[in-house]
Amino acid sequence: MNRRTFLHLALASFALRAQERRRTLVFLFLPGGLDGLSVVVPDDPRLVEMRPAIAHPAPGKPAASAPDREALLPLESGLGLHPSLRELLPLYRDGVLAFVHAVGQPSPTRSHFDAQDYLELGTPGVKSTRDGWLARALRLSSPSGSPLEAVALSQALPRSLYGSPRAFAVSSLGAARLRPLAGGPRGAEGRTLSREAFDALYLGSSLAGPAHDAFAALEMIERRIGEIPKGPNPYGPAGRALREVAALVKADVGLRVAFVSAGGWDTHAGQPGELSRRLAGLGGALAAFWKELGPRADDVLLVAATEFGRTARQNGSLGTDHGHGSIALALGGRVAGGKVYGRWPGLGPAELYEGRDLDATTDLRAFLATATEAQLGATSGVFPGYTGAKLSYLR
Amino acid sequence: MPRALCRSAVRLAAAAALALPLACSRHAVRPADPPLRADAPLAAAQEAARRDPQTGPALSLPEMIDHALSRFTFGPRPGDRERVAKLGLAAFFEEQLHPEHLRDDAAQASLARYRPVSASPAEMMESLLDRRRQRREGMAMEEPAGPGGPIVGELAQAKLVRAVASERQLLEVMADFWFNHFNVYGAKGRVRALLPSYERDVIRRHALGSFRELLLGTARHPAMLVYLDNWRSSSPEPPARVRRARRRPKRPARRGLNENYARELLELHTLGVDGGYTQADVTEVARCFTGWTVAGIDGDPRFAFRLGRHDGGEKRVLGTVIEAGGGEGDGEAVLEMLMRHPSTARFIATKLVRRFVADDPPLDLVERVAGAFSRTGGEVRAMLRAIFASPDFWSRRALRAKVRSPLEHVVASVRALGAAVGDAVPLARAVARIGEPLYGAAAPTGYPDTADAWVSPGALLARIDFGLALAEGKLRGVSVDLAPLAAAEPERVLQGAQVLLGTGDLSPRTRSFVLEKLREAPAKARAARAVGLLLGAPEVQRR
Repeated sequence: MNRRTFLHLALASFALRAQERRRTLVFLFLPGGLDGLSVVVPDDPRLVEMRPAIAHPAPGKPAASAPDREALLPLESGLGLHPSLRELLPLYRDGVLAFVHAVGQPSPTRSHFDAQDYLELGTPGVKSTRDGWLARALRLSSPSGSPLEAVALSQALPRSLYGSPRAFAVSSLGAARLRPLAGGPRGAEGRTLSREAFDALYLGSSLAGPAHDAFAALEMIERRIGEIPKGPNPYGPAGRALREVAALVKADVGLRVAFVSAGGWDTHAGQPGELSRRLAGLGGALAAFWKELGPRADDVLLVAATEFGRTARQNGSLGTDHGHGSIALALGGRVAGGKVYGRWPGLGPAELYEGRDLDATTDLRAFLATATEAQLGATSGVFPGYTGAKLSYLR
Repeated sequence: MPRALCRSAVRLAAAAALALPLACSRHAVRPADPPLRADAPLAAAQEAARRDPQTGPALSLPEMIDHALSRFTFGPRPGDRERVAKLGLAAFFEEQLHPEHLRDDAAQASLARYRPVSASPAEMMESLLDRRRQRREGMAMEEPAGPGGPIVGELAQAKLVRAVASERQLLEVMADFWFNHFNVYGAKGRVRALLPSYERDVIRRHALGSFRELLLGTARHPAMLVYLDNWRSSSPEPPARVRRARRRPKRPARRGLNENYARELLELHTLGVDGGYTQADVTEVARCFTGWTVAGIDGDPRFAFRLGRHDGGEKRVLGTVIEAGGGEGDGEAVLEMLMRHPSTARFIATKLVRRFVADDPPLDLVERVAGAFSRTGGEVRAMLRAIFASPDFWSRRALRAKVRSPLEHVVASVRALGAAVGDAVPLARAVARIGEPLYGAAAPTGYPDTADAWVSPGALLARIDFGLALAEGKLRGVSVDLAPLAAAEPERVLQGAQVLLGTGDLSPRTRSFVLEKLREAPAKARAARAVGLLLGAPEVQRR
């Protein structure tokens, strides 16, 4: 059996197993500290007092003092959605999108750097953890055996996938390519020849393992995904990355875990305009992702989380500073959506965390562990030392 | 009153800093480590073959030269092998150990365009804060892609220019090693403005000097103090006497112990994770370093000791009592204790041997290098000599035993082709794409130094694609001239490329495969195809 036939057989067997419709977990990381209090907003006069210059008016009540700030969208009684997240409203109403509010990590740190590490490693307060929570979840699940089992659409392997030797990190699927050899045919034919040449060159070498995974992944992308749309996505880099995740899901390549990151939430200054732009991009990207998934929506669960929230009060430059509790969201066919989960801690002076931030009444690990159990069957060990109960946002 | 106290503390700190060179010269009275004997490498290679006959004959001289150049430089340029052969391996090594005697005009001249190379922390902080202000006011363009913004970007380019073009290759290799050992993250807040001075005034300055200077220098540098948060660490309560005298502060300072630096000092900088300390030691060390902070953070950032933040009580570190009232001396006492601790010698030796010899460091050699550390008080030259004179280094087992890091692969490829770098940006991008964004290791551990970290599937593709792009001259600003390789017969093209890339030892299978691919190509593309295939070949990913 030559190498080519082997690859074809391998592809066929992936396809067979993919018919089991294995589930995919998509982790959308929102680094920078997203202001949860601006995403799903309680109708509480204290919030307007603390944020006179940045709060959006309650649903249907345009503020005379701030004509530039649109009113919130009605979500459920006492809660409004940021007006720039308009595109999420249909998903919420269809019951496939849920929020978990006042969620956070049990660590007092307000350093991005520390809190992002804690989140990605899944061990708040401990930085020496060698592997990430996604890698552990993957290890505890039954593998699909595909070279595209775990894909991070990021330049470097994210810390959440540290310890996963086969995880394939690439800034975009279009960047996963080998250019043609000098003097050979160009285009797809040239790329295929190039790939086959190096595949042969690595056979039997000490790097054959990762090389085999790399070329198999590349071949799978070229065969199954076809043309990858180039150029800017209307919803920014996260929109492009999510579109590629949807393409991988639909191509049945055995994708179990996908990592996408969308930053820009560190709104210390000029928050209303900045946040509106960013949230519009995020909402559009998620809505487009959902549409792209089509019939595969039931197999996919996307969870989005940030390292911490922001101060309840506005600061001196029309922004907010690093805080504590924030918001998380889940999107998927099995989400018991149309609901905001969590226990509301309140915004009174004694209720705010250290007198300044939204408190975190739900441990982020409970939110994420619920997702890894549902999608990957990984029950315990994903978050070492954590034994808290799972949440109920899934059906 | 408290302000006066602080001022006197700063003066104290300045006096201590002045006294430092004196204190160190006391340690330097040890007899200097003698230079290597000319026959040491050859004798070691023969000893290696005698000890371990089943690995084959002793390394040949050309093999030894390639091996030395692949480990103690960023790889040979055309002509380097001949130069070392003429000079002798030991003399070449001694020359590299003393970069101050090596002329380096070309590389130095091309560094002038990178402002961070020479700018002071105050200047860098000013430009960082200016840019932030402009961005806030919506006046500035988007920051260029990559963590750390333009300062880190320029520093990365300067690092690449040096690695490619400097004659002081071992200095560059060691600067990379020590920066990674004492890693700080370029994109953490203000660290990026402090990074240029940290690298220049501590890491590069002492890269071939002594570990003691590196340890003391990093402990006091604002970049480390900010990166590992020690500048914010204080005793939980102000001392009673200060508290009584304190007037209402402008802003209530947040107080409390931060153990971040103390933990990494023990785990990553000195003893190692199994070096024999407990969590209680971490806390006690953190107490010793309270008050070691940064003055003038947004103006002229510099080290300061603040007695008002210091925990003046008695501490107990690694079983030794540090008496109450030691002030700034507490931290110094801890650093001295760690310098003398055998675990530190062994930990540093292990890391050096892993870098220069093998992912699994041979224990005999670790002991020898640790011995050199203890004997000389941490002289870097003595430890490197111990490696260069050892049979383990010259063993056939060590040949191509290491996978090149992304930085090493990119720089070695450019050097092998004798390419001229007019613009280092595409190289910095390639290094990042292959998995090692420079100054971009977020964790205090720095980048790993073992093969498994560098050969993930995505990274391997990026490596191979980089080689193809470089060979075809597709990297803007990097000019490659392969005309000398042009020949009528594919065999001669391949042979020339093999000489250039130091791959005389290609497996017969690889060789015949590449030849077949060359025959398929039009004659004028064969040189680029040969180089592209070889740069991506598994043998070339190793050093």
